[in-house]
Amino acid sequence: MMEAIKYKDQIQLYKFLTNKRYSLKEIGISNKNVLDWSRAGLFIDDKPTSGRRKYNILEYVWIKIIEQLRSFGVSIDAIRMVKEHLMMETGVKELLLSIIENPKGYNENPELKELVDLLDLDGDLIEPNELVKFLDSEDLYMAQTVLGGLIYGAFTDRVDYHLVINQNGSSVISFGVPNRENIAFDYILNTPYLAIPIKSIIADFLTKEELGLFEEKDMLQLTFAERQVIEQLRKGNLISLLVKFNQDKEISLIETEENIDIKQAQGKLVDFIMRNNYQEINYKTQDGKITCLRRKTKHKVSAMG
Amino acid sequence: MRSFRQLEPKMISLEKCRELLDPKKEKYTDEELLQIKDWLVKLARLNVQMFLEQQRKLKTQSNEESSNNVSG
Repeated sequence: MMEAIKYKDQIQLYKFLTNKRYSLKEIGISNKNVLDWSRAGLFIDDKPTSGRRKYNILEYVWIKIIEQLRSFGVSIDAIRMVKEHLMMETGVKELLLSIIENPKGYNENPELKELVDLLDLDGDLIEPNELVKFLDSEDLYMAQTVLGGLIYGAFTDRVDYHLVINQNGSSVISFGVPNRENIAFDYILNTPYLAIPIKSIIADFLTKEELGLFEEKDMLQLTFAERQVIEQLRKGNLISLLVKFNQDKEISLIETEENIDIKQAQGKLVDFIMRNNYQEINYKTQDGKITCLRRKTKHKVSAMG
Repeated sequence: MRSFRQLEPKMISLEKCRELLDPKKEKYTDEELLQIKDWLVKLARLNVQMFLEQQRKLKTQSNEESSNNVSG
């Protein structure tokens, strides 16, 4: 498992994940849908939602998962089961309180030694009741669940996590594209199932600026070439996108084909092509008039961008 | 909601993770449970760091306020 980010950057990432910044409009979900789902108990708190409320990335991902499940025909009851699974606490609070209560008991554990030292160093600042209040706060609670770990992991580990769900609401987390070789998933793969790649949801909400936030740190799961593919997909008007890989299985070329507004090509077609420096252009005519104009563009991708 | 209650003092065992997160042994392989355990430790560390950061800010604010009160 790759651990490419340093402490300070991890805090930056954690703040980024838990900061409530997205409106429903930005998520692309109607207020009515979210209100219905909230009333049905699909959210972590029972507070009624409103259009003005802001959501953090963890909530964003959960809303997108609900949306996909509903479009797959999964019932509200089944989604509630998925919620039980994903919103299961990983036990952050219990672990910390347990260490505070008995630090010596954890001193021998190498994976926890760092955490024990951290709690011990600033012992005068750690007031257990305050810590509990902090951990239970609305912003941070969700980050301590399995879903929180999953999304945090999707950013920091180079693993292609998938959430696999069937129509009955049984769900598992797959640490890669789900397949029958993994016995743990066999029962779920015998029924119609939906595999949601967590990476694709994350790519959906990251803007260019936010991608840039982590770019230099080499901590994001997406490579430069993958981000270029996403940028192309976001342009709109695309008819097709072809990705070619080199011998090292890295993306080397992105070829796109897109429709062009015919009005733009008024006048001499040759002038239009010269003006726009197009690499390849296809057009169809009917009765001497252009009816369809398409262009193909090839983008070479270097490994380092 | 379930969670890791009554943690064993010296370690978080894989069996404990299994018992609490996947008692029917149908959701996670051992490797995946180890991953979740890894998330737990990392998230715990981040939460403590964020908490300490917040506490330090509060302490600084409170010191500044009392110093202002004295000078005022």
